[in-house]
Amino acid sequence: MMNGDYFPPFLYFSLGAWLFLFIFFIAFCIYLARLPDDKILQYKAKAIETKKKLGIKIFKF
Amino acid sequence: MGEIQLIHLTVIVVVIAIIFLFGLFASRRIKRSEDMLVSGRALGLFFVACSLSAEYMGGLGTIGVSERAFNEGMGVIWYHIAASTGILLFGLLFAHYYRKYGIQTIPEYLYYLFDIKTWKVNALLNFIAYTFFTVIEVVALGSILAGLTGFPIKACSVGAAIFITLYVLAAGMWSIAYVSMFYMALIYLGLPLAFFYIMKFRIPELVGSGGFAGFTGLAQAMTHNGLDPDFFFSPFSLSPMVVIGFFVGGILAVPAAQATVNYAFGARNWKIARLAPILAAFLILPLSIWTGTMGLYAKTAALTGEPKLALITVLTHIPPWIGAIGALAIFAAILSTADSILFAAGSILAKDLFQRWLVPHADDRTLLRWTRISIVVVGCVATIGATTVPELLKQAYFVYTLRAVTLVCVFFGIYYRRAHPDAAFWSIIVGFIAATLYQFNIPIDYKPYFWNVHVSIFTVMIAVPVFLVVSFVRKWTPETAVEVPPLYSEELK
Repeated sequence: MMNGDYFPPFLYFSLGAWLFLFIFFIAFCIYLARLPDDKILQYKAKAIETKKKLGIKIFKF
Repeated sequence: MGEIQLIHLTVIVVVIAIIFLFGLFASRRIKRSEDMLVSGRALGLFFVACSLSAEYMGGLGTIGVSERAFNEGMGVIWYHIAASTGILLFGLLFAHYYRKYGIQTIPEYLYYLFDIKTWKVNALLNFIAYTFFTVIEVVALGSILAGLTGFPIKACSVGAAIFITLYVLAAGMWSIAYVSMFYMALIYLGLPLAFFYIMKFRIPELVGSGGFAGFTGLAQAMTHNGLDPDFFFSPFSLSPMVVIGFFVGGILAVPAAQATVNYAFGARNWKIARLAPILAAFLILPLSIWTGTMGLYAKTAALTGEPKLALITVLTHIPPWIGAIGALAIFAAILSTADSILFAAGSILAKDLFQRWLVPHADDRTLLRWTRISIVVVGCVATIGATTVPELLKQAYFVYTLRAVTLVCVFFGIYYRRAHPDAAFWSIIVGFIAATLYQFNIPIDYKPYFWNVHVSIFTVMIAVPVFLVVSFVRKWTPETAVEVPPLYSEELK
């Protein structure tokens, strides 16, 4: 039926996805390392921006 | 008590002692409430990644996956691929928004995005949901412990609740972060070890394996026993709807779930908060290879007729010490979910309900004391609940769908310009009522009309249109969301 080194099809998917995540992690590491620390200021939630535009004060808890 | 149970008990006692030592060690870091609630925002990459992934690896990801592989084959790998996708999306789309404002709880972020009433309703419902869920997890832990040691389930549940409460009490998020590293080591040691032992030594002994080890022998034995290896080893052995359900569930379960994402709040900086979920996704993914294959082995070897017991039964059919470490890995997976959920309920009770809402001018010492009291309160509720109303709690599981509605609110708040505070408030209220009606079939059984989808998917199907319609109808004005919180320090920049 099969030889002694049978590799089931689900393993291609699972290990393939694992490899993808590993490569993605390394790439994302490099991407984040290159971003300036103050880049965070540019991530703006739309609802918070709407409040600020209308002059609605938001307080830190 | 048999020899195997004695070995299990010995290993469990040793592990409990180690965990208490971690708790004691971590407690030296607690100086203020922020240390307890978000580890003083000092968690590094591995602490955050291990805490995130350990929280996600619960009973469903271990025993549940094995059960599903036993019944329906290795298409179950999609469960962890979907879970990894959910965690990945949290890192890519949400973590930096949370970390930007240094939040400690998800309801707090809903105030920043929307208004006071949305924060309050979400804090209250989240607290109830997480408290219920703590009891459910404690009962699950009690069942595992009872299976391993032979003691009664109720006694084991009470013991588990007290044990978790004590080590979370020692240092809050710091305790969980240290212990999660230990749990991940146990999971990454115990499950692969049991898996490789079975593949190398047990499979060649199966009738029909032809003496081959590994997947070759397993496939030969399956054919011999009338099971089709092409089906059971296929990544597509589950129906597309089930796989879609995994993805929807995996994506809805993570990005706004306090118990899962609060470790990113404790990250040292926003880059670690974004990167750690990617590493956590990587750590979670291979779990179904090990647990699923062991489920298939249990079926092929006819070790049990009860799919739920497949994984535990396999671990009792290998050398006791290897089996005990494997069983501990499952124990660790469930324990790591339970401690995070107990801590999430305690955090929301202490920070949102007590300090921000009820006693806004409490000083930090009082808050620290209240955080500890909150953990004890939730622990006591879990202890009492585990012994009195477990059947009711199985039904109460649906309250956990709240995290899906919260995700709808957070997602639209970040990415949809017209997202309105009233939309967030009403989608939470309507979503919660809809989930209750759907879960308890009031007044009719809705499930056949909604393709029998899971209650959390149904809740999102209701919450999204409610959010969009209310946002479309209501207009932002300078008077919208002007109510100030009971406690505030400075204006948000």
